[in-house]
Amino acid sequence: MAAPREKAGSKKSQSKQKPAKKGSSKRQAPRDVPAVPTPKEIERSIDRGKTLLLSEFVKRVKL
Amino acid sequence: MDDKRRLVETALELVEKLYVHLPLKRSMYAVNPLQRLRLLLRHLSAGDQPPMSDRDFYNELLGIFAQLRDLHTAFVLPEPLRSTTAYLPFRVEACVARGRRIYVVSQVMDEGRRDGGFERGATVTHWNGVPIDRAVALNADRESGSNAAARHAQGLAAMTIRWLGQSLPPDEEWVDVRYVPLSPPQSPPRDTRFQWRVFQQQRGKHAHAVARAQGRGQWSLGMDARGEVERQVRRFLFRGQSSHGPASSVFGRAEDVPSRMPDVFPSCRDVVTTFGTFGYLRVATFNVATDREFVNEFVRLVSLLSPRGLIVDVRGNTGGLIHAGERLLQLLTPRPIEPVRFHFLNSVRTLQLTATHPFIGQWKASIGQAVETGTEFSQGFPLLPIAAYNDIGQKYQGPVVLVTDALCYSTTDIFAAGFQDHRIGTILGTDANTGAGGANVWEYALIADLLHDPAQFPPLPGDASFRFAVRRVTRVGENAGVPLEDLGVRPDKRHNLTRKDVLERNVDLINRAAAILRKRPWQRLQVHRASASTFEVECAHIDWVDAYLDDHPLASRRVKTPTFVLTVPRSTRALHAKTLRLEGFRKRQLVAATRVALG
Repeated sequence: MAAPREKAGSKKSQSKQKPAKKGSSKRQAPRDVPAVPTPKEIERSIDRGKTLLLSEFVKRVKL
Repeated sequence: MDDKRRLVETALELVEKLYVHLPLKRSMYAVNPLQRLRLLLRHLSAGDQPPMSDRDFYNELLGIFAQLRDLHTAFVLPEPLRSTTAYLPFRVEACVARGRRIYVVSQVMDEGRRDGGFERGATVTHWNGVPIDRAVALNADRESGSNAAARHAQGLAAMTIRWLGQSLPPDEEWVDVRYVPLSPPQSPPRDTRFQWRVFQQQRGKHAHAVARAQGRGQWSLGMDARGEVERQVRRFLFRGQSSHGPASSVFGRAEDVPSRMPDVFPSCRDVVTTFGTFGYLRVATFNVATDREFVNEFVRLVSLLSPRGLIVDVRGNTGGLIHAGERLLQLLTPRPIEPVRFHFLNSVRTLQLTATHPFIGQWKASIGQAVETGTEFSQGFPLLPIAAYNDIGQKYQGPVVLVTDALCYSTTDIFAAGFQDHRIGTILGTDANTGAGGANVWEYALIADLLHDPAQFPPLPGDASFRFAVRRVTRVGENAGVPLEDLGVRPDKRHNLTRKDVLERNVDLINRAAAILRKRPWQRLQVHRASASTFEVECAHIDWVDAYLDDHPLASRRVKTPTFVLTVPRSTRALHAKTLRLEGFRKRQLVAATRVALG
């Protein structure tokens, strides 16, 4: 049987998928994938970053 | 010690049973990562060996992955390294002057400026006393670039910025640079020193996130994560520092069209060259949350540009969401798109995965047959149904030039391969090849989640991680079956970047692309609804039009005037049709297509 695949870009594909009923012949949705940060959260973590000298950093991480 | 052993055992299991390029890498680079991992495991387990320091252990593990020359597949160092990037306060780019490769300073942060003329345009000649070309080559050996062009590009990029998630901090705390100032002319070389600095993203649960794909897009990534981290950090560090330089005297240009996704499309404008006015669009990344928003913005932007020809510049684009790249192709051609194929390694792990998860169940049968067929790879399938690659159709009908370089990777490789395999236009390369990353990459957390075996695949110590190429790409069309990994996409034409390109917004490169576009004919085919049953058709440089209601022929006529009216009969078929599609021909060649939704 062909594997179920999402329709590209559909709103449905971006929403939470309900698990398919047992024994259903309809397409089964994959398990929910782990939550990931949104693009804004990623940008925020960069915007709030800080800089320091490499020598200070190496002392701190004690490699 | 247990943490180190766990990392090595996990790597051993996944490299052997999930890493799709293992057969290729063994053959192409004569490497044996499994044996090196076994030796490392033995070293860690043997009681008679002195304990291994963290630095030595990380060095060895990074080295094992680096020898694969695969930017997809990597050991990701734990925190605080993986949320940290080392950098120098300037950027160097390579170009060619008088037939010789030179290295020009293209951007300088405020903290990097020096009184002695170390600024944009200075030429770097030596690095810590080593001639710069040799220093870049030595650096390239430590990086994971595949072909020679990719290794050089990766080596050069790593001279001034290094994500510490995939490489240990530089051994040297500073670098001594010898350079020749841009002015006054004939200046003698000067020396200056720069301290390496590090940029640390805000700590927290998002500190090491790279991919922006949401939901199931995480299964469809094709990206050099290191390149993408460095791009994001560089964009932040150099914000406000122009890399464009003064306006060129060679050609004028219109203002940039503002993009709703400036990170993705940082430059969109018409360029007025000596060969005519053409559109120019830079696609900096495919690392987007969803392909829908990305594709819609691309359509909007190209509709605002000159119809006479389009330059799509993907240099430095290290990939992202594979759907985003592949679904763009349909917008640039009247012909249907055949997507690339993805193949798993045939192994007990991939059989287990495809048997357990319906969304990859299509691959299960051929993996199960491997015992009989003896093949190393599964049958290939596209990631989405083929209709998803053709659901919009052509939106830009003029000729197109695609500009690539050796930093193009993964999704960008796939996009460039599709561009070439569907004969959409000319690929103009500033390097001899693209980065040659041909795979779908999965992060360890996703792999562990799918394998449902927390005892064997627990969270890794210190937020360390692995990334693996799990499905390899093969091309279509005339290159059907050819892998993309390591082979990449060779451009149709080459352009050596010049000093003016580096300092004056790619002026020579754009002129070269414009010269190619000038020789290509352009065409236009548009359709608008005039009434309930009539449509007005506009044509330019088209001599024949075929019309279809969905996929059923409606009319076929010679074009005698630039506009004409097409009538759709009130039949049952017409009432239920969803789309009116037109195909335009010139000298019996299909050159343009358009469609309009009905109802």
